[in-house]
Amino acid sequence: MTNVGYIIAAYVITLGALALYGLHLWSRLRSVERQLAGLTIDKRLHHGCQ
Amino acid sequence: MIGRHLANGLGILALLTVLVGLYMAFFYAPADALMGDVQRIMYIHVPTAWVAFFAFFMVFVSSLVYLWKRLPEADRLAYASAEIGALFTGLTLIDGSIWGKPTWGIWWTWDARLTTTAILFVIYVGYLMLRSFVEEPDRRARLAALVGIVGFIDVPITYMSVLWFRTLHQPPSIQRGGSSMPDTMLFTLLLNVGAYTLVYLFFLVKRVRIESLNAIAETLVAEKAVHD
Repeated sequence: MTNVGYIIAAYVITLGALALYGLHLWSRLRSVERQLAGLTIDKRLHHGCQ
Repeated sequence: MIGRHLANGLGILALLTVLVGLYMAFFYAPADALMGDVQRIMYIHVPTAWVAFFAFFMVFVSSLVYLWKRLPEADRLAYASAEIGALFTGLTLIDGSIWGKPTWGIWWTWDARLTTTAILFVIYVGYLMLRSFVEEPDRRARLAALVGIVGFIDVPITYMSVLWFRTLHQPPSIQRGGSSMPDTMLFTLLLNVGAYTLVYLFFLVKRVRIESLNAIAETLVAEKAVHD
């Protein structure tokens, strides 16, 4: 590997991993927000029925 | 809790600063007289290491606060910071290894700095594993806080290892007496340190929000189970 290859590898791996982690966080946040919205609607319906 | 718009603004600022830092690392900072262009890896290696140290400092402080006040928010902050810190430590080991090959001729050696950093990585991966093994929330938070406090001891050891031991790794780029680097290199390095610190803060805000919403969801599920 040339020196340029080492530089590119270091930057691509680091920035790529950070971008993937960012996407992972975004996806988890969306998922928990959807779950919470569902639970809140359930709770309102439950209280409405009583 | 930080508002969503403020958090997203922080994310945009972090992204822009990383892009400026990349430009400066490749087009503004000069090549090193001895190592040549491969030294440009420093502009990502030093910031990732700094963020890892800072993240573990946050774990340490949050863990102390948790044990003192028993605030669930402090436990969530410690958990979030440990996860991000472990990621940055892993990246420090990887980009350091990639820098080591053309500079030292080897990917890895059991040098004091490298070994203490690897131990740091194992400590915080262990912290995350511990959290996944213990189910009872209070016990989990207490045990994790203890590991977060005791584990932090390795951070100053890692930092000082290049001064205390005869190592292959170079001494700190910036020390109390100043820096041996030209101003262009130093400015580029400091800007990149700032950029990756902003990335860490953005991740931290999002990760803490996930944990906070998870806690609310768990309460609602428990309430629903009681009503049903």
